[in-house]
Amino acid sequence: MSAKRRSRQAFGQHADAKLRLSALLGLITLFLLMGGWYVWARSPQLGKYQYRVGQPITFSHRHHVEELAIDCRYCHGDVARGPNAGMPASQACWSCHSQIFTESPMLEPLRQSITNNEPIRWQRVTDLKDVVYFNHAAHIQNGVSCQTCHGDVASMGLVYQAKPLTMKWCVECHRKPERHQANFKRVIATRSTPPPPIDFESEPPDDSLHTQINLTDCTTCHR
Amino acid sequence: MPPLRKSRPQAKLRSDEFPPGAPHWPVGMDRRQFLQVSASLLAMLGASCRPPRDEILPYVKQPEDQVAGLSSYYATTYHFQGFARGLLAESHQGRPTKLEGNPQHPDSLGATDASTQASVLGLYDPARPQAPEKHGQVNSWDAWKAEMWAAIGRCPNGKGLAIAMPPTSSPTVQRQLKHLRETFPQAAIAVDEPRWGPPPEPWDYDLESADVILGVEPDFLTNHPSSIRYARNFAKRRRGWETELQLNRFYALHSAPSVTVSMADEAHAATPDKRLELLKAIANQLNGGAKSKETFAQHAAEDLRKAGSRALVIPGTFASDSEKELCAQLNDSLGNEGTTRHSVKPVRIDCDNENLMSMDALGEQMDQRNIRVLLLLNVDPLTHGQDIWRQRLKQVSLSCYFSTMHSEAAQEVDWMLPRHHYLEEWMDLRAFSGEISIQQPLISPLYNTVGQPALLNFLLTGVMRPSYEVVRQTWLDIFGQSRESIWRETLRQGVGPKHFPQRTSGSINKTPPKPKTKEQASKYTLLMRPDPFIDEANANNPWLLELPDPITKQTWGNALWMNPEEARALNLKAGSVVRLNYGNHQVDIPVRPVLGLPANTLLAYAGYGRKNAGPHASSGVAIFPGESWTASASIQPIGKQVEMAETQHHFKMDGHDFVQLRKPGQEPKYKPQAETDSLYGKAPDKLANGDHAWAMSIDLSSCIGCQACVVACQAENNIPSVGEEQVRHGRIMHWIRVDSYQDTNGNDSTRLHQPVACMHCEKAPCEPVCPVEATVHTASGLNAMVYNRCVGTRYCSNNCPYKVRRFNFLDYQESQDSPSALQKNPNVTVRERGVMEKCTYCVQRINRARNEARREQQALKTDAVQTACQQVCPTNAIVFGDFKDPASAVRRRHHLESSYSLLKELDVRPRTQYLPRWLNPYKEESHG
Repeated sequence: MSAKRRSRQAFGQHADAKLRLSALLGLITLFLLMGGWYVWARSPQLGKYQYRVGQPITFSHRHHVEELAIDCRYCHGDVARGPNAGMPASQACWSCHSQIFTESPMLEPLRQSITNNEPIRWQRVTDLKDVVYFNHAAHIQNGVSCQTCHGDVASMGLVYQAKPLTMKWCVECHRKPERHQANFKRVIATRSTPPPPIDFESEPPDDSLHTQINLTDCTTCHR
Repeated sequence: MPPLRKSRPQAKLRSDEFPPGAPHWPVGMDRRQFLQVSASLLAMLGASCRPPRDEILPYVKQPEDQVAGLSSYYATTYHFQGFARGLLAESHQGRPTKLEGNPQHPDSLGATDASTQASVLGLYDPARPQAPEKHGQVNSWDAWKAEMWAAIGRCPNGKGLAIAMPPTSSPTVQRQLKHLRETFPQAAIAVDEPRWGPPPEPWDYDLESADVILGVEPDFLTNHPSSIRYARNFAKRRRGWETELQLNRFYALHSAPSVTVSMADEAHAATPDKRLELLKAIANQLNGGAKSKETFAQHAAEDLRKAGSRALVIPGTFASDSEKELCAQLNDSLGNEGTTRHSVKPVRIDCDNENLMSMDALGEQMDQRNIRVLLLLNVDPLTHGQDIWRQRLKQVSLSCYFSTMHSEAAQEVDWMLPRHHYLEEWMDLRAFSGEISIQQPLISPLYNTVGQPALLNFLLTGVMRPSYEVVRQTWLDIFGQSRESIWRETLRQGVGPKHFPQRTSGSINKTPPKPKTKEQASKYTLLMRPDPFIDEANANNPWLLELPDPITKQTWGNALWMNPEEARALNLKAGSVVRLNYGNHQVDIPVRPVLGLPANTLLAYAGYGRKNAGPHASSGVAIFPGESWTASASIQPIGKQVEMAETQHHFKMDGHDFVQLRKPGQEPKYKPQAETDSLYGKAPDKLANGDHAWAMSIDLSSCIGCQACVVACQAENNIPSVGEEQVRHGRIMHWIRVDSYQDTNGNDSTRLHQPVACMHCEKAPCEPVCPVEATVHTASGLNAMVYNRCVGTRYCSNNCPYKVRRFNFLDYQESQDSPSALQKNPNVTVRERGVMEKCTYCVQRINRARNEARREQQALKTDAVQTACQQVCPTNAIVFGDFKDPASAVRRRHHLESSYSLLKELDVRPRTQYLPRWLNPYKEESHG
């Protein structure tokens, strides 16, 4: 009698629990999906790093580097001297733009900066994790060109991050640096492709490029 | 039925039954709205899939000689007891982070002490007063100026105006003081009795030439304007491993155990009265009198006589006046002037050499109601425990307190006036030997503060001229036309020419010591001493409060030191609280039995237990030394027990040889042993891998245990303070500690100091036990710690025989918003909770040196890398370098036969090795 009655019931004894469980599972799946999307959408490991970043001044590297042939070091002057490449002071921009494009609305933030003595708030494009102590000078001095890590900036309008900059990507080079080292003279050149690596077979080895430092030591980049 | 409303208790009962709000329908969001909001949040989350953005803010105008990401160094000056101590301050884009000694400065020689190291944190102290305050309310400088100027106007010729300041060697302050006395001839100008003890004797000691040193209550290694130079020269004569070196012999006749006493070869602890007796006996024997019965006095007199003009008798700061006189006589009879002792002209104004008023005389004036306007410049009479001043401050019509930090007086006065930190202020100072230096600001003022030269200028002229101009004016007066080149050179080098103040009075007018009031005879003599690290300016400095005391290893407070046998007789243990009565003060203070303290003598540090000087400054117990720094005292146990926050609990070596001892002529006890089989495999060949082989050598003969290395490491490596409670749990974070042991075969006063940091073992036991390879070896022999790999198992710490690894049990770092975060070294990771950390051999400095050498296209120069602990060490006890470099100092030291590794029986092949502590006790045969 009781079994019969139970079978006639549309909802079994555990119906509530099942409903709650499936609702919970559904919610978890939804969150996982959203989380997955979140990770996927911003993961450099999956190649998701090449997006342009809006800047206060729509600065075109293509115009300044490729068309006007200004050296990288004119603006990023500390690149061969210190850990940071350095960003141009507003006065550096002003040295030309006090004369040309003086009325351009695009340069309003620059004029504001000069007038109010306040820095231009550039948005960082190449942002390494804080646990990494990257040294620009060490790379430039050792024959790694700008293009190796920053890509073909000379052809970019608004700059985007061109390489993954993951630890895997860094370590690949640190394991076999000679594949990416060029002679210093060519390193700074603002050409669109990285200078060819030194062919140690045909070219007499440049002693200054040889380092006995074990580049895969943790302390090379982390401290 | 009575109306419900009237039965209050019942209604109360009912309302208590349910949580508040239970009878109301929930209002606001219903389920549908909740789902709508969640869905839109999720959608927005998806749409905002971009990593967080950082901003780059370049300069508007590029400063000269700034390389992005590299620090620059500027010469400036720290004020130590009113004297100059030259510094090179490291600045990261205008933010001072670390102080180094200035190698060119005679009282620094490239080193500093613990307090100087910690002073940079004072700049960023969140408790600093940030604007002028009138009766505790924020106010403006203009308001103060108006009020002050009107008040000065009511003091014709300065009658009724009083100014008090601490002694200083600054030419600018001295010039302004002279002008003040000219402008306000009737003003009362007082110089405070210094809180660091009586002024130093007008003698400069040459410890490098001294073969035999007798110190009477000695403290010349830490508590003297030239103590860094003295420590360095003293240590030069302690290195038994140097060939052709004759060790000096140091006799210490003392009451208080201290860092200086701990270095003694022969020490004798005696009460102050007995001390004088013994000194008289020594003098008597030296002058041909009868031999003393006391062996210490006998031996000391014999050695002094033998050494003649190469002997030296040094009275400590707290030696009594009669002892100081006797020491001078002894030195005269030894004839050592010109060899081990040179007279110096005093450069500091003290109240007895400029006819200035003492604080007591000022107090009397105030009691007679002669003072209407009082300006306290960095002087707080209330910290001296003179409660009578509370009343006096109320009596005057306008009282002002000018200082970098809040203090007890700040609550009582009308105006609290904030002063620049010394890294924000232009000033000048003289070294003990007279060299003039400039205190150059590193940063523009963080808060609404003013400099002292500007403030004094306001009193004189009614205008707050910038401190820079005031200091330049002084230099114009001193150097005349050649000032510009001298100024520039001094600013660059940090040291200028010698210059001595002109005395306003021809004769030094020494105030006769007051006849001591005869106190009732008590059993104990209480010796009060300034804390070795804490003073009025840095009482709120967590680095210094957490710095273990060199002798007891106590942190975050003081204790009442007592002879261990007496303590046992009274059934007092470490931490038993007693009620201490001295003078007219009564405090409850924990007892700490300390070996080397004579019977019937107690000792306590002053400087703790401050009332209004910041959140940390209240730790410990306030002790008010008064004028004489001693008092008769009585104690009474109150049956309470506290646990003191100490970092070392056992001071005996128990048959081990952590600190090896050597005496002249003695063979080394241990020979280097062959490598044994071990779980960790064979040690790699130091010379095979990598470009360098980093190694360290610590000379225990030179180490005086001053703890400067601990603070230097803390400043360099972003090491947090953890607080008293965490220290009790054994969670102190210092990467380097200084262990201290008693010399069980020698006298009680000598201590053996041993700095211990990560040894960078070649066969490191920490490495194989890490499940995530967060600690691994580099080719150049560093035991690297990779924070971003560490998951916090703490296995490595368990397996470390030296216990030098530190774990972040809690988030010890201050928040990013705290001003103290500005002190952080940007080249070192700030570790978060759950991460293991330890000494890295200052890998950031290695990397910097390497990159610089690379930029110059040169090989790394020998000894180009200096670790923070090495750089700060006053005695050069620590040497760091490349073992592969045949010319390196560390290689030379490691190759000495006496060089040994700690816990060598474990054979973990540490890269840090020690040189034994050499003792040079009295020898009969050498006098035959």
